[in-house]
Amino acid sequence: MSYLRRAKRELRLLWRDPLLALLVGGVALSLILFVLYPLISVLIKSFQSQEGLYSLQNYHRFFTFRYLRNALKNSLLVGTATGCVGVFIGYIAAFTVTRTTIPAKKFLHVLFILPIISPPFTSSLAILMLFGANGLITKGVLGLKNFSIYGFKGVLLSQIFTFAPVAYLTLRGVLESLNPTLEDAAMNVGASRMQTFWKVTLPLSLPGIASAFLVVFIESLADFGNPLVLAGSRFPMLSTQAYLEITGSFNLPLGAALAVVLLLPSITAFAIQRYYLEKRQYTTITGKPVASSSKLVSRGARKVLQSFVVAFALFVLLFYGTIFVGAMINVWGYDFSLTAKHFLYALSVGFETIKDTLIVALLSTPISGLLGMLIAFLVVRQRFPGKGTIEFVSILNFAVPGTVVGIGYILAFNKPPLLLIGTLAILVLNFIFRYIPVGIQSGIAVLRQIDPAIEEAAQNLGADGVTTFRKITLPLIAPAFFSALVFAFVRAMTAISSAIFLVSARWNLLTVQILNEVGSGRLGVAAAFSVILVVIVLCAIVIISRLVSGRAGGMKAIEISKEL
Amino acid sequence: MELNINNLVKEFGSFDDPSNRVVAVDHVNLSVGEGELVTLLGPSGCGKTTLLRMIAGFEDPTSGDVFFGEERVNNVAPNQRNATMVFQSYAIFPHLNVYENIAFGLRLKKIKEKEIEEKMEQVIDLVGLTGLESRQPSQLSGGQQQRVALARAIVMEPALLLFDEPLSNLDAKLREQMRIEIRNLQKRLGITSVYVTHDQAEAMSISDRIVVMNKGRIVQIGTPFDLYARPANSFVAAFIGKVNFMPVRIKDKGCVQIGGATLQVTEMPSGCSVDDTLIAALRPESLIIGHITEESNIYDRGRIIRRTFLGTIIEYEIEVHNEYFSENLIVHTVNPMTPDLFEIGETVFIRCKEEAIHILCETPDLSNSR
Amino acid sequence: MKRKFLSFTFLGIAIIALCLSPLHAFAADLIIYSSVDEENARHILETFTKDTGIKTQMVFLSSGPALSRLEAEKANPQADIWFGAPSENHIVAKERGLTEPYLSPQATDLADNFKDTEGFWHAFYMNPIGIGVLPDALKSENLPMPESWEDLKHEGFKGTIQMPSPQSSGTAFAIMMTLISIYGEDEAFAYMKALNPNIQTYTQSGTGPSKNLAIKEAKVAIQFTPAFLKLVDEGFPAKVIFPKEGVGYEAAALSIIKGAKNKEGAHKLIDWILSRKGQQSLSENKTYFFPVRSDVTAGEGLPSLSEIKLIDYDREKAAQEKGRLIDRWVTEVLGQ
Repeated sequence: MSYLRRAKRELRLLWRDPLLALLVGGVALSLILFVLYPLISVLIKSFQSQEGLYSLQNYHRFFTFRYLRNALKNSLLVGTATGCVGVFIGYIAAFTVTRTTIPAKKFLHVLFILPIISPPFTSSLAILMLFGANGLITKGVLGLKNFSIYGFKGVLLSQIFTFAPVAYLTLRGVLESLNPTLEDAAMNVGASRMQTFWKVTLPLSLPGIASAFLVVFIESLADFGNPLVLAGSRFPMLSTQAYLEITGSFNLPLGAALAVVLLLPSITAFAIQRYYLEKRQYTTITGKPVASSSKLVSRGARKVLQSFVVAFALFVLLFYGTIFVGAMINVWGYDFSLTAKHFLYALSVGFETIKDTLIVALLSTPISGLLGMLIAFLVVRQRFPGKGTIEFVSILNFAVPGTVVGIGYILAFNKPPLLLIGTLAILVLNFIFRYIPVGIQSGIAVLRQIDPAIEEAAQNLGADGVTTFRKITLPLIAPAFFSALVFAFVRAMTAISSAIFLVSARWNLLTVQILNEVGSGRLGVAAAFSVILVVIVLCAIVIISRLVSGRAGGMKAIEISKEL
Repeated sequence: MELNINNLVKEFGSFDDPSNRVVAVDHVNLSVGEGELVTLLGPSGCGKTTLLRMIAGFEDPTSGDVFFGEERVNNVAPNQRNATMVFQSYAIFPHLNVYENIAFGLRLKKIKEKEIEEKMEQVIDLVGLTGLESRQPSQLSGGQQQRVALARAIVMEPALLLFDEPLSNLDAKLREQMRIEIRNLQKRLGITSVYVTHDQAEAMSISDRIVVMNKGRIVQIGTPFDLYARPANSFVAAFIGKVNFMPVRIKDKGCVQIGGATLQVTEMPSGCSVDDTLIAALRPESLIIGHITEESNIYDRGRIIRRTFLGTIIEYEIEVHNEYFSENLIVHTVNPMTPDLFEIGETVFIRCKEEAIHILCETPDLSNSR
Repeated sequence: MKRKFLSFTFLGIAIIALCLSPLHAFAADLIIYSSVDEENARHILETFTKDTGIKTQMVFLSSGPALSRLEAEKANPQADIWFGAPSENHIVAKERGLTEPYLSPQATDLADNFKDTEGFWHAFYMNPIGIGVLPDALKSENLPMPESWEDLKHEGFKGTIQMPSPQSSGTAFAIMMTLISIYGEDEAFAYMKALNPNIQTYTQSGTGPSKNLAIKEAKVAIQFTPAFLKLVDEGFPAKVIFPKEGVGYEAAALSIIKGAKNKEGAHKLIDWILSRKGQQSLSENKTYFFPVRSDVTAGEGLPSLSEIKLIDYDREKAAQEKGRLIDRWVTEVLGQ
């Protein structure tokens, strides 16, 4: 009852500012169309038989066919393992970087972030080259015969490589915001270093740790690229199985059903992370990095921690070095002569694809950024009925695996009036709404730090909602805007799981191209394309940081965008 | 422009669960005349800020009306009320320099550039910020930021000027200085103003009238002198300045007994009768102390337990113990500029100035006396 | 502020310029979904363009994804031709009403197993299954060169063999059908189960095994022969073996997508690829595919078909049984 009354009042208030009302309406409509509708399409499809009749046969098959149940089990297993190991590594790294004076901090930081901006296949590629049966390390250095990296080991390794940096970024933010004077206070009353760590630092970082774990878990569940290369038939995983059911067995409804099954743990973890953990933040609201006290870490401990961090950094360097070198090797594993032909091939034949990818990324990135800021502004500063729902739906895509979204888009937009299949629009729209959550989240985080009186002051001086947003809010949330741009661009360039369903004869994407090259056995070309992609992404980050008047440094933006 | 507030109420909380409701502003009626500066004064949570925000339009009243002159503004959006506000945190736009900050509202009005320049020059001169136009907010001191906030509000030539504890972030000296400047500015421009603060010294020094609020209600409205000399109840008396409460017995028309002395008073509160014991509010400066001499036998005595040198005044705390009451009284004497001060432990006589006795219609808490 | 505005405008213009650049031609082109790998498809189609003047645009989609795409785009097909993928897939597509018929005059001499009688699909090349091995690697581990399917069960081969996964690859399904034709269904599954420990991994794509052979990940690879033949022809120390029990083969076909916009171009492509010229382009472009026309030679680097024992099987029946057989593979062979 009271909800309706409040809703009516809020609507009345909203009506006073018609432009704002229009914006709210527009946002709501686009979210329904491009986020909810595809998801619902998948859900509906999962309850259909191949002929299109209503049926529970897909879920029945899931419950009866052990292979599929194993897929769920394996995905959860890998997710949990990746989460644990990833958080462990990430915490140590974050702790070392924030609490000790490690040299070349910036360089290490950059190295840690590299895996995040690399396409999903490359770590698998590097792993194969290094740890496969004929791998440089397994065969060449360790002399192991017929070592199989496929299955659980391989997937876990590739995911740790890809997602430990995500945990690192989240935890770094947490540890930076923990007031070190708390640790000083503990030691001041007589606690030893270990005691201080166990009784003060660790407990205070627990919510952050749990948060990081869940984020990594969700990303691991949705990971499509690495399992595709390294899991193998004996180790089925849900994300790839959904894809394979559709493309291999040509069973769209079953694939949709598996996608729904994949959704459940994802959304659960997401809900826990947002609605339960958010309330237990022990970090300061302003989140300003406080100067770290290095008294907590003894000399011996420091050496251990630092070597650990350096080891991981070298690991990253090894992977990237392998790929970079692999791009210049004639035939990896057979003819190690240097050649430029892979790059030439990539740049000539692949030029179309590079161009297509850039167009899609360049179109979707700014729109995603602006829309994200707008929604953040509406959520934090305005009141209207359904606000909570809009916020929830807009970040829903973050918990939804790319495969599901890709399938959804195909199902939703293959008939009039929204016939978008095969067009540029479907790719752009997919990317805009898929990666908008980060923009929204960082926008909200930054907005909450801004004194609301500032926007009130603008209103007080005569500015309406839109003008306030344009002239006051937007400039002030530049750091968040920037990180949203960077994230959207990076993801648009490296996306595969949803994109693979949406490329067409006219519009192709680099990641799909790389997949094709890997599948065709042209490793050198795949590596060359990967190198080109990473270079483009790095350049873009630098350019974007210049354009958005360097309010936040290039790499800092990625870390803001990863803190969720 | 006149401001009229009629029976304004603001409730927070859910509508379904009455136990959850908080009444922040409870049926407030107030009129502010043209050019007047009225201060809303009270402790935290008394509703003064909520009231101010309702005037500005940032909160919607639960019931009641706000009138700007003849116009009822309840449904007018906050950006259309022309009631500019100086915020507690100044709310200066961090990404604009001083000039652009102040000119922000003007630019929105699409006034001609020439006119903007003129107004800007005037107001910048008025607040004393000449030469600082191109500075960034981060390069300004607290006092300078405050002036920017002030200038930004004034340059709009508003019908109403609102102040939300604008000086609370400044140090004491600056506060004193700024409040005088603000008052002078307001008087010069003649803009109707509503000022919110919890600092009673501030309120006293700048207001035409003060509105004392407590728990969402208006307790007393009056000039600073009225509130100080004739507080309506013990809350106001204690909130403003320092006060001594002493039990007083009504003897008969015009005569009361305080302590051992029977005195003539100039005013009696209505509704009281002979032999009632009420409370007298006595300001520290209305008590006189002196060395014991022969005549002092007619007065009460007390022992000095504390002496604090405050510059202009000396503050004494005196323990009084007799058959009528047992209190520690605060007495202020003007600094005699000679070493002739009372010592701690000394017994002195104490009497009050008759004309300064102000009787409240409240009964004393009996546990306190005797 | 001004600088930012300028840079954004510049960016906007750059994007528009890219979009308008004349490399996306429209209506006259023939749009093709190719399940033939990119490099080979490109070469063949370039030859086609040279011969006929018809330009093509191609997207690579392996058979599974291609079928899904056709299904998804049923209401508004985006392409004209599905080029490549074993004929079983085209049979499925025909049954689902995703293709339309065309009786090419060039197909009259084609063997029956290389075309659909109603003209819904035509095979334009074929590949037998082969076993690729690294002789040096085998020798260094004292393993004999396998000459038969049975030989592969030898426990010395543990973890050295790669083959595609039936779940995702038409190639693997063809291998499975080969074994079923040789051994009978139950025996074939027993064989695959016995072979399972020797399989290092079942690759997702049909050409995965050869790729891993090339980087010496695997010592033995089972898939269709083109990739192997190419390796050998380029001097890679590999060898191709045809097991003596016999091997199945794929007949890669092409069909016209129902509702295709450029039907004329589609007809021309079918006619051309089935003509002598088109078939010869297979060897001219070093695809290592076998032609389907009996009057065209296979070309250099390809073994003579007479050396290989080819096994045929009922494709239509196979298509129907596919689901059940793959399930059986998962439960029995993978043990899941």
